[in-house]
Amino acid sequence: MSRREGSLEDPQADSSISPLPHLEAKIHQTHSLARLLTKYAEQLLQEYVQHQGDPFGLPGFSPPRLPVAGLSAPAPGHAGLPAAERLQLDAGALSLLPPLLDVVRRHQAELNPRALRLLRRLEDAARQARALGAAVEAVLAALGAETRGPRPEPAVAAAAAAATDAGVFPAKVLGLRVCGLYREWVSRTEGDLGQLVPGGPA
Amino acid sequence: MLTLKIWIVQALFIFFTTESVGELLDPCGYIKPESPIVQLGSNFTAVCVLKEKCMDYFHVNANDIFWKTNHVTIPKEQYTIINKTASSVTFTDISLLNIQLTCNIRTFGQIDQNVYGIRIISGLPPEKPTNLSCIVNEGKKMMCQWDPGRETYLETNFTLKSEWATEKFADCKTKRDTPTSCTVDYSPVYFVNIEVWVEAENALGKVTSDHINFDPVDKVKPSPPHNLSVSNSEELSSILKLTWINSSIQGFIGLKYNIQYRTRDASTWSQIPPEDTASTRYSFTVQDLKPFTEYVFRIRCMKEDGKGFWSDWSEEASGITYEDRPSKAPSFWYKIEPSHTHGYRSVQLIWKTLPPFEANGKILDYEVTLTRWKSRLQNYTVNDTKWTVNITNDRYIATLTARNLVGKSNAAVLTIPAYDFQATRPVTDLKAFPKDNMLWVEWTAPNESVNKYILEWCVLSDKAPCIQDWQQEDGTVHRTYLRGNLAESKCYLITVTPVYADGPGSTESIKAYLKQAPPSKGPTVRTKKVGKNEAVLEWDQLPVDVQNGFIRNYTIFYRTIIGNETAVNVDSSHTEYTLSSLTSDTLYMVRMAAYTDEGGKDGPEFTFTTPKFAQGEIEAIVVPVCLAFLLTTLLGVLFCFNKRDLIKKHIWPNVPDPSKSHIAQWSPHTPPRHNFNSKDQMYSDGNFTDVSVVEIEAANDKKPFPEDLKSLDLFKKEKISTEGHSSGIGGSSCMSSSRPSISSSDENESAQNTSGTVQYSTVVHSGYRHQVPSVQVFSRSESTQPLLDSEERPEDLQLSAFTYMVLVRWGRGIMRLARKHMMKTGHREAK
Repeated sequence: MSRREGSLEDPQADSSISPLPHLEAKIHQTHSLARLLTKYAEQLLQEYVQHQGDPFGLPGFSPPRLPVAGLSAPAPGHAGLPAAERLQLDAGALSLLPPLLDVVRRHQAELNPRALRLLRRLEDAARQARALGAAVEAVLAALGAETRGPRPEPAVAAAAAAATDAGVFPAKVLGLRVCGLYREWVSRTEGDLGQLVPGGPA
Repeated sequence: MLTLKIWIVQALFIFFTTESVGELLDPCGYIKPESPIVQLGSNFTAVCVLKEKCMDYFHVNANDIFWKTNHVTIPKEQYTIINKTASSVTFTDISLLNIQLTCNIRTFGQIDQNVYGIRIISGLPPEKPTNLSCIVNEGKKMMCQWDPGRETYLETNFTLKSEWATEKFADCKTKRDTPTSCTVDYSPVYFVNIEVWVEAENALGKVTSDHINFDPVDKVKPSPPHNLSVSNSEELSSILKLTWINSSIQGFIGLKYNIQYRTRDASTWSQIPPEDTASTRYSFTVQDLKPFTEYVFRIRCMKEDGKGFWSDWSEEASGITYEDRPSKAPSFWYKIEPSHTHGYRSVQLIWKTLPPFEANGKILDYEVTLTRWKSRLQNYTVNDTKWTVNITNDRYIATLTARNLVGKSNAAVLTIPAYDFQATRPVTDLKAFPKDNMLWVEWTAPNESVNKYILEWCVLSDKAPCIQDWQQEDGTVHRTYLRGNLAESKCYLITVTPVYADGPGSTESIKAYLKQAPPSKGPTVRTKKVGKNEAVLEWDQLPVDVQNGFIRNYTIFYRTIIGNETAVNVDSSHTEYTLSSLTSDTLYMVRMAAYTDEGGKDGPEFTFTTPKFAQGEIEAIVVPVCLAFLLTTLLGVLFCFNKRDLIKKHIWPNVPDPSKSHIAQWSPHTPPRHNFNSKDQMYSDGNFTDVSVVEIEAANDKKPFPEDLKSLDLFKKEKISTEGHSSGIGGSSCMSSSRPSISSSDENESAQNTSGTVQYSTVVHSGYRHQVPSVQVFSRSESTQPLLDSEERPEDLQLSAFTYMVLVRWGRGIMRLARKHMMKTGHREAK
């Protein structure tokens, strides 16, 4: 048997400490993360709907797409903005999403305490949104663009909590809306970074 | 209120009980520190402090303190008296891991009291963990491992810490049984760099490893591709197409692959060049494969850029390439049946099935053609691998092709020579030898061009017939191995036949073993002939079934019961051997071993005893002795016969029975006669034909003495008185003894009369028993009657005794005269 067969790790991958990624690598890595999180966000949204019962799973169910704690879906004109500005918007949105996701997780923990995977996904999504936001800001920093400081989390969380106090259904709708926003902004970020990746869409 | 009282009472009881117990267990002193953990090799000091109460009670102070470690008193040189109540002990370079230290006092009466005791635990601080590495098995959580460094001898906790730039993760604490690895509790997130490090901590310190920062996706070990399937192509018999499903991680990272394959019966894998599979894909077509061959495939993947780890191998999948026409003609040979009818012979055509790599498919049937010289071709389709046909004595050409689903092989051509064909031109220098667990055959090709060689072989056995196997080799080959299922320790008879265009050449044979072994039985030795100092041993050649190899030599071991064993090597071609220089009349034990190249085997022991005498030795002694004895006896007999008179006279003189005596007529003129055996004649009525007459010769120059005459006269008188009673002296006889017989009545006189005379005669008195002799003669008595016969007739005893005495005296005289006469006669005859 050749050495290749017996070796689990490629010699090239032996370095245990990654070198400071240069811009291109960082953009590539952040783009990959955004792509991965887009998939995860899709799975989260599907799983969230699954656990909310009717009418959330019905085909015709379409609650109003209202802003949540000042966070709205990416604007239609978002794609026309300069890359740095788009990434700044992405980073801002991503910084708002984790507290919202935490609020949704807490609410779901009361409503669906046995939906451990959903709860785990919501927890992971908050963490991943923070990681993606930090990565986008790192790209912005590497690009030399200004980064906008995140909004104070308590304010966002308080706003979200206030929204859920209205009742179970509004809380579920809020969760649905947050999960939807999470998917949209992650997807948007993926698109925006994709334009920066060498060989990606212009 | 009552409840409150009860509660107070209980509380007081507990308080007092506790206090009293505390008093009971209050030690005389204590040691500081209480539970020390000390670094190996360092110094350590402990202080024992006595309590005043105890000191007063026992009348001791710090000077009375002595220390013990593990029940051994510590030398006082290590003590330090701090004050009246405290004493310390100092240890330098602690090397024991676990020390029991006690503070003791010696009270009045030399009684030792243990004051306090502590346990000192030694160890080392943890070393900095090194070689920290992490792996992310796809779908599972991240696991990191490291080298913990030296043994600390203390309980050391390892904690794996990890964090993102944005947040920290929960610590991963190792389990007791796996202190060098830890699996984190959260799912890793690819494409987000994580920083990981390890903290090692025990009672003597805490140390942190170097931090590593990596993207978990670069440490991923993907799940192997699954649903691997293999399909062939009818258009191309040399390709197989693989398809598989990648793991889900393929959605985020590019993959590269290793694809390996082998034939079903092979053990080693071949690998597709990695550069052909360096990017994400879902299928691959493997080329340059053999037709109609089953191949087994497996695949694994890893991150395209080579960072991370190879996945495990996928489950194996197999597929068979499509058929192709047979690539080679079958091996083709024939056998002529022994029976031969007039004008025809039975020929069995035989061929080998093609190996899969030459058949290139399933062989459906074989096509045989047979062409007699300048005759029409005949076609036959055969499903078997042999075909028997009766052909004439002419020369034939046979061809054979194998057919599968796709097509036919090339034709194998074989010339069957005419009946009277004389095979010639054999191979030369035929050799067979084992090598690499195969039996190789090597030969020198004839000068002529050879189409092919046929090698045939069979196992030689005494019990089973030689069933031949065979194989075909190209005409260019002159060295090959037998491709049969050969067994070890079997003797193979191998023949090589060159096949020329006009028919087969003559064969050459050789015997060989794939692997020799010692014989399974030793030869049975026996004696063919045993001599006094040698023995001829003989044995039978071992049967080929038990030889297990070529018998190279025999060894004969022989020994006596008490002697050392002697070994003699004998060439394998011999079947008998003569042991020489043996000791006679000795029991010998002999056994025999037969040796192949791989060792020997003893046969049964045989015993024999050498005789005391050599063959013929007894005869050589006995026969001459017997002959000598016989000769001596014969000579003695002859001598006796010749000297019978003399012998008879000396040894066995006749003693006449007076009762049967006759008085013969003294007839000096009657010639002496010497017939001793004529009793009948002697006792015939009145005839004394066998009477010895002693003639008193004048040659003696002596005349009868007067005494003799006087005796004669006396005799006459007595004769008258006894009326013919006779007496005489018997002649000599070999069977009688000579004894004088004298008369008791006239003994003195008779002795005087006969002592100086030679007048010996038998006086035959006529008229005995009414017989009247014509003349008075002296005659020998031929009586064989016993002398004392007269006892039977007592009335005659007196007379007979007297007569006997007289006659004996006369007989002696006569005998003397006769001797002298014989001597003279002998002298004359000699002269």
